[in-house]
Amino acid sequence: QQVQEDLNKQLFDNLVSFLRRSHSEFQEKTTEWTCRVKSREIPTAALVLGVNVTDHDLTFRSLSEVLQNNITPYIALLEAKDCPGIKNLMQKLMGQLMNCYVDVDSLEDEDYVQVSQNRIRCSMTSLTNWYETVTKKTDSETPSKKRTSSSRDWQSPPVVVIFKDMESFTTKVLQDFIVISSQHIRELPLVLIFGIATSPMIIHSLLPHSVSSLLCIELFQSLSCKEHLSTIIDKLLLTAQFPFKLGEKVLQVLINIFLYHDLSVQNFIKGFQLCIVEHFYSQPLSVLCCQPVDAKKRVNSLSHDQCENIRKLPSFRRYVESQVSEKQIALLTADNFLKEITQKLLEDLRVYHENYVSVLRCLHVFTSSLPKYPLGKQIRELHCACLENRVWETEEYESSLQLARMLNKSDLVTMLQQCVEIFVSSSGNEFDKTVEKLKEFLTQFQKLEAEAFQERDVSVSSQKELQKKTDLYHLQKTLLELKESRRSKKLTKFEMLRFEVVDYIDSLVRNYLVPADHKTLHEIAYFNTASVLRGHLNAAPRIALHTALNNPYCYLKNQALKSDGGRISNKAPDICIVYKLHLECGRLINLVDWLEAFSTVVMAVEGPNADAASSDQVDDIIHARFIRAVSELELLGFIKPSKRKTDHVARLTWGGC
Amino acid sequence: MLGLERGVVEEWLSEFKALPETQITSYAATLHRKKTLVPALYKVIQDPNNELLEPVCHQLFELYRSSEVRLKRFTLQFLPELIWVYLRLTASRDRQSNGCIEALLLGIYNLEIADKDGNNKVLSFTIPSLSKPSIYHEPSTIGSMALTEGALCQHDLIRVVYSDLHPQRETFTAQNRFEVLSFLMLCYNSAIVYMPASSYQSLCRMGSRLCVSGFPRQHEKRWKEHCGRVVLDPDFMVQLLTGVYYAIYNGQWDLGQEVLEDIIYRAQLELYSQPLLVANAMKNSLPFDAPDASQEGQKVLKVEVTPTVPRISRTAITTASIRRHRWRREGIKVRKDKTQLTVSVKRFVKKLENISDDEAQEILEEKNYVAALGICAQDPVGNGSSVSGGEVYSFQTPKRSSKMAELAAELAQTPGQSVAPDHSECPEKTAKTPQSSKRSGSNKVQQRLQSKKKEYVATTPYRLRKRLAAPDPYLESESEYSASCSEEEDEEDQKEVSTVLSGRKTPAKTKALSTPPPRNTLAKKIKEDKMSNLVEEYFEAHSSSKVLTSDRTLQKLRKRRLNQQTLHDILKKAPLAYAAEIKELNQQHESLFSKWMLQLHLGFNIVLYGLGSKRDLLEKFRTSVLQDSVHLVVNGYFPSITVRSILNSITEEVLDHIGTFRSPLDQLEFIIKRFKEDSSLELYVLIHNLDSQMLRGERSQQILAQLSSLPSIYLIASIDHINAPLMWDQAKLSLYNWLWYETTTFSPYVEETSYENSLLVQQSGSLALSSLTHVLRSLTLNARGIFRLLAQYQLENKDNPSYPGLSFQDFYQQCREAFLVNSDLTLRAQLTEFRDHKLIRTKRGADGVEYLLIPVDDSTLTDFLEKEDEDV
Repeated sequence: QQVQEDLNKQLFDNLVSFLRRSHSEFQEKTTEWTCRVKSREIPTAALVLGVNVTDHDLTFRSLSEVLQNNITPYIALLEAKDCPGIKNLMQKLMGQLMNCYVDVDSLEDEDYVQVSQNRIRCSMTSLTNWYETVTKKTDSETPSKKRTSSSRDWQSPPVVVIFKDMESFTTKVLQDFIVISSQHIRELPLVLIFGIATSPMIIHSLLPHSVSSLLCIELFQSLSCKEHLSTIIDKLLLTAQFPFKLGEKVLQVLINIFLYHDLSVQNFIKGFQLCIVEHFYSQPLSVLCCQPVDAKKRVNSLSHDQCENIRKLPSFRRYVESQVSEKQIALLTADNFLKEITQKLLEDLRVYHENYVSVLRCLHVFTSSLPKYPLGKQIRELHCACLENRVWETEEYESSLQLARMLNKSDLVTMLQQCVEIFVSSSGNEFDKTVEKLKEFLTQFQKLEAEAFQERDVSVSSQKELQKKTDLYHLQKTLLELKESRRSKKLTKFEMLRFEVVDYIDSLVRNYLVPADHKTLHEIAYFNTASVLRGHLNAAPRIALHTALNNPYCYLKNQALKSDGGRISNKAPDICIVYKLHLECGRLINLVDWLEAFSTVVMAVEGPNADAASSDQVDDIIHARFIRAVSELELLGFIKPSKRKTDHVARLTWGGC
Repeated sequence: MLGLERGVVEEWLSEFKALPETQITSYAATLHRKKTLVPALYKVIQDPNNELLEPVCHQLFELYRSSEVRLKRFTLQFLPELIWVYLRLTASRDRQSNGCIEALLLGIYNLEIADKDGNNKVLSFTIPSLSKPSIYHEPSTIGSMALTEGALCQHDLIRVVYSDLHPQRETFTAQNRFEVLSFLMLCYNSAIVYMPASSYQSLCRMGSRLCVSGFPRQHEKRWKEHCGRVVLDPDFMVQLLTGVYYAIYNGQWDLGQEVLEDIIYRAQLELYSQPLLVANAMKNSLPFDAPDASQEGQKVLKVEVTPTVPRISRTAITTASIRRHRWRREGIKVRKDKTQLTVSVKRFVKKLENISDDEAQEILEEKNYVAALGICAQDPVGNGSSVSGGEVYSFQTPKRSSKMAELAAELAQTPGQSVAPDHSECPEKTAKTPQSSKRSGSNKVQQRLQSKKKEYVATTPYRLRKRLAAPDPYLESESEYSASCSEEEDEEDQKEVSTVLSGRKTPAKTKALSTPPPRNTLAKKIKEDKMSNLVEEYFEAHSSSKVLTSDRTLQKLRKRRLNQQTLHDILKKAPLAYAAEIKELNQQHESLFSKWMLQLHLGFNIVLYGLGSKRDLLEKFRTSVLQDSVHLVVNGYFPSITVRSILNSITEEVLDHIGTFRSPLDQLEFIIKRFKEDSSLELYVLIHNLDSQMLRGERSQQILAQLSSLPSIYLIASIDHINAPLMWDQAKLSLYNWLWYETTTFSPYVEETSYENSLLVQQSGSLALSSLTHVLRSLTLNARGIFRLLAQYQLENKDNPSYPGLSFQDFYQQCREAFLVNSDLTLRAQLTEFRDHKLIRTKRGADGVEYLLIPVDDSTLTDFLEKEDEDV
């Protein structure tokens, strides 16, 4: 589990650093652009972030960190839910600004802290006053180290106000704020940043022209969430560093949730974390899923039970069966031998991963530029395809190879160069030969260029011939000849070389892109139970409720409840019966009829011999059971009491309304 | 008050009454000559306890009502003082003494909003355009270059702004007070040129006092009178500024500047943008020293007295009139654009920037826009190519599709089964014709099954029986159900819903349905045709709201209603079905406890869903795992639980904090801070029924979500409502960081439903009736009579669903007619008595009238009246 926490940490570091990179450019732009802002207008940055709202928090946090470190200590982050009115907005704003002032130099003066605690009546003037005192102080004292460089550009650092979710602010508040602050822009260099989820036009639809003309708006586009996703997948899944891997189905589920539900990178990461947790929780052998150095130690310290566990793994069994019999016996009986073999297998697995990644990238280079993308545009799709089964057996792979055989030379050369780079950068030492081979291809291509001239001459001369001959017979003849030659031209050196290259790539793929579940001991590193994941992340409470009500046998394994062909026994729990009866009704349900129906059903269960004499007593119980069932349905939200008619309830689902 | 002044005022009062109609004009001409009258009147107005105040107000209104315009102006000059006195008294809640002033103000307002014919006035203002001559410019002088024909065309749009209609007002309320006062200020401003200097002074005094009274700034003033803060409205302040602006340049330089400062002060405090904007502009445009107004009566801002264009409506003149300044002296450098202050603020903002700036800005914006468009144009292309359509639409979960297939398979089986009814264990089961199956066709299986069940149960609704080719005699005998018919439309409803469900899965279903008789498929085909205009049909089906159900009520069923206690007892006696299976289920769930703990510690929160009470499960989790850690159990189903109480129990019992918080948000912040500071604090929160009535609000969920996002607070909650997941949007979901666990327990919701106000359980009804009779028995005969009246009236109106209640005035009238009360006050006293016993409820209608309502259902009320009749 420490391992897994490490992983988590690395994960977040990755993400944050990535975001930071993406925002540094914004910040640079901001500096240069605010310089040319006119005095009357409030410089404003509109940040289009896309619909993945949940990730914005992280983005803004890192953005404000960056700004804080580089430009100004005065930053306020405002959220719409905190600011129902302009006063709340100002209060929040001042609170944040003054707090951050206190943070910057908390030792300087206690009296200021007191002031801010006293909840001075907030207004723009007090804000400007505060700002003046603060800037004066920092100017008169030693200019703080942080802002030595930046304060030269700006005589005074600007105050940055970030509106996290601009769309959900009330327009009145925004307008008032902008109008008021625009009057103070000389004393208080204010910079606004709007976080926008939809489109930049929203600014103009939210604010009237008179207000938006006070703003000097610059638009920034943040990276789309899909790009974020592919970087994360790149960094997490397609490296050999992390021993933990996702199975094909799991990955598919995660990607589907991302693409079709929320587009939230954070949720993707959450799912990934959950996978890790599940894997380590459910798979006893997951202790071996760690860095190779630790793995060796741990293999040596395996207990007998754990060895037995290894022997039970299906992939290991397959491996054992493929061995000769003496070895089989040794594997199944001697723990030490098993440990040795396990170490070897784990090493194999690691090497396999390394090779896999580089070959996958190489293949991606080829397939991503093909028309129609038979194997997918993104590397994650390719990855999924490779994990699923032998990729070279699929139709898509065939067609993409076909297409690859028709590539022109310049593309091919660049691709090959890219591949060479990939292989060189990869750590695996098996690829030396491959690199050599590819380089050889490249040189051959260069040679071909020289020959190409000659060929062109040949073709030109043949065309000239064509122009000379005029009579029909000869024309036909030469055309036929040309055709022949063209057919044979397929086997020009270039084409032959092209075939060779493609075949070589194909062989690489066949060698290295074997699906992971064909590998021995893959269970240690791969997490494959997608259904669990789906159940926890993307649950369907309504479906669960309905199956429970419609078909209680799913949960209560009692033979009496077993329904054959959809017939439901009337021995079902009360609530199920009541639910069934209610399905039959329209918008309003008469309680008396319902009760009557219910009692008939229940009486039938007790048996027709229930005579009239005892019915009074029984009736009470049935009545009570009915009441309970109805109020349970009400709690579940299927019905609600209605005032339209006495003793009626309204149905709320399916045909109700 | 000196006797002399008193004499002057009294003389003035008597003088006008004796005046014949014909001499009014001459009287008006002489009025302003009485030097002592005006100060004396000011004194009267300022003193709310003066006995002359009421006649003076009345007299002023008479003057205003007279057709003579000079008399009107005489009244208008006191307007600022009147407003000040009125607002001061209102703020001090001394309502009694300002009645006459209120009446006067309302009277003037109601006179002003209508024109001579009694129609409502609509004020209009024409926004000047370049091509038409206006007071600002002459088109010919601008120069021919700029005004090409095309340019003129663009500027040719004449925009006219109309004001809203002002409705007639009977009384002042908090909502309409400033609407009326702003309009009155507008009237005053429109006549401001005619006002004497004393009125300007009064205006300035009013402005500054309104703005600072009760604020710390008041201490700087010479004026020490103690007074509460006066609520102000931005529109009113803008109107006030308009008047002040005129006053500044017409003799009241010092006073005017002071009031300007005060207004800015107030607007800054209140964060009113519009007054701030106007006032700042005025301040910035002020000259350095006072305009030379040494000659008495010399107006610096001269305004043309008569409008040149007669058809301009009156208030348009008023706003324009102030703009028609002509500067006599060249020393005063007031920039022209600054004089437009009085134009509505929106225009103002634009004018303030000079035009070139504006254009540059627009160009810049345009660029941005174009850039954005470019980005947009690129994006879809990228999207389109990267995600093929098939992928997008392939999101049906395997679970669901399999279910549908199951349904289809079952469907295929049912006809055969219904033909052979022998398998059924029930003798009553009648021969089921395939027709019924045809009818319900490929509807949801539940319905199919249901219909079968229904037949067997012999409570077939009308609709279903209609389907049966040969109605069963047995069923017919129990024909009291025949009334319980649902209409055809219902059926259609359901069909539609099912088609919606089945629509996506049709191919699979057709395969499965290959076995059923051809009729079935025929019906299905028809339905598929229907799919096209499904939307229309949906609305059609839902447009008619008539639903027919039987009229039987529980009361006629001669069965006593059970109360909560007996219900509980009976249920206890009744054996729980399938106890063994349920126990097994629970054990399954309990095996997950350690996993839950692990996941809670890893920062996830857990939510449980599924049928059955999850209370026992969570209790078990608590007792077995959380025994020696700090935890908080929240019974969400408890009807009076609030987020506040949850937060309180955290702060008080977990954090040992004593003290209150202003708002839940503050409290939340405090909690978050504490938990962040002290990492050793850990808290498990168990919430039963996170989706209960009290907690499902957006704000409470937000707070809970933020709470749960703290790393050291572990939340485990249960939900039951079928639509519970709709409570959370993406942001909240990510805060909650849920892991979903399906825990269907099938155990009855004993605790959860005990608070549910179920229809079938007799609760408030008996209680209300007994309390009614008890309370009323202790009251006087008259009081009972009053209540009877109200009850009867309510019963008469029981068919009216939008019955708001009986208005107080009508009620008073009725009571008087029945000789039950003799004054307004006695009735009110009586009603207070009722209200204290919760016998009646009052609420204000949309028009501000008080309505009285007895919060008891009609049947109880009838019972009550019957009982009363017996007693009498």
